[in-house]
Amino acid sequence: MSDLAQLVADLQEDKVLSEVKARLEAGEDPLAIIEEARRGMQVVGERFEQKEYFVSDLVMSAAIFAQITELIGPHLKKEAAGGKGKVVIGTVKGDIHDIGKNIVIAMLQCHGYEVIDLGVDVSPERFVEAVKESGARIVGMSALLSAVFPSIKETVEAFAAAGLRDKVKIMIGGAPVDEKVREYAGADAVGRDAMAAVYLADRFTAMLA
Amino acid sequence: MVRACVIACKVLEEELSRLAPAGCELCFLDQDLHRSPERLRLSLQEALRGARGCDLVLLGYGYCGGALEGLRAGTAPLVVPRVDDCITLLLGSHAARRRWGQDAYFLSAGWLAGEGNIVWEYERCLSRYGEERGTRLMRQLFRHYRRLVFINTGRQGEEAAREAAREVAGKLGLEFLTCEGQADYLEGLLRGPWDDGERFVRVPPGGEVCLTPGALPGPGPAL
Repeated sequence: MSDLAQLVADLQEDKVLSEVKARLEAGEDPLAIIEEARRGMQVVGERFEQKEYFVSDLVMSAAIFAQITELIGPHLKKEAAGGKGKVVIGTVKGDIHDIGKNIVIAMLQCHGYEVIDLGVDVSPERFVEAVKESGARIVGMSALLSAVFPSIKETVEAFAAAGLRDKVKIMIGGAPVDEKVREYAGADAVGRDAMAAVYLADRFTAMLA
Repeated sequence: MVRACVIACKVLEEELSRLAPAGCELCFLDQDLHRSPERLRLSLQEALRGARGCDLVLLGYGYCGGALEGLRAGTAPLVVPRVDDCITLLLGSHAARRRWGQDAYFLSAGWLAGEGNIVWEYERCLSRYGEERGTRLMRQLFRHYRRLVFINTGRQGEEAAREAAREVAGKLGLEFLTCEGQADYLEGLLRGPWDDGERFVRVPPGGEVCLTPGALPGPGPAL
């Protein structure tokens, strides 16, 4: 593990931030920095599973990650900063979990997407409105509760009812969300982690071009 | 006579032990297994292998982050409650859960008996990250919740657990409420009938658990 990944894994907030600042000043590639931070985040997840870390440590890691992406933002190349396109994202109606969704947002932003974050408990209508207003072609939906799978489906259907279904690509994610849920909801793709969201968005962008 | 075996989360141990009919075999697994749905599934599969002599296996679990998906029934049929998690089981029905809406965080004495429970977590967070940072992190974790609801189920030591919950609610800036748990769902799990299609999923011997698509009733409007 690189030093930065190690520091993130150890949740050394101050050291992480000064390391990131130093590397940015030295002219290092911001995307290489974020990739190291992401690897550190993976280790945080593993340590949680192994009972070494607890829920508040996950919140801490998300807070550190958000600060890293903030530091990196101004250093992204112009075409990378929001230049790849817009993504409308939110936690679906009936669910208020957003730690994972916020990490996905940070990753998308670092990889050149402008993200319109609708927050939590987002109704199908608001998803549709946001796409109409922004002209975004990619939609991301997050869910942590299985009881809200119907909300994902209803949101996909709302895009169809608005005549927008073939204008947007829809990706879904969250701990319990898998291929079966994707099929049930009629979404275009499912992602297992934050990096998958970036790959999917890139794939969608290429398809839509 | 049907030999039933219950495999359930420790969170429900006292409640299920009290309600279970005589002769019903009970096996409880560590709540901490929830940290990894994969590990929970493997442990459940192992427990199912151990329940060979039974005619019927009843699972005291819910969707639990997808941990039960793909679980394979052994030689006996399996019954799984169609719930997100054990809170609906403790409250007694989907309708009872819906009435609370989304901004309620639930606790029971069973939850507070577990390792790494929220009261313990709060203290640990503050000691690890300091009073100010720790408090902010914990509040961040609960920022979309407005109420903390303690479910009374009649467990031993419930009063102390309730007071601990009340205290942590204050620290988190949440309104503290209590409600009475209802045994209906757990009774249904233990005694059936399991064929109403609404509350339970039945898996035939050798079949695979599938709780996903469309299978779960949506949150619906608050009643």
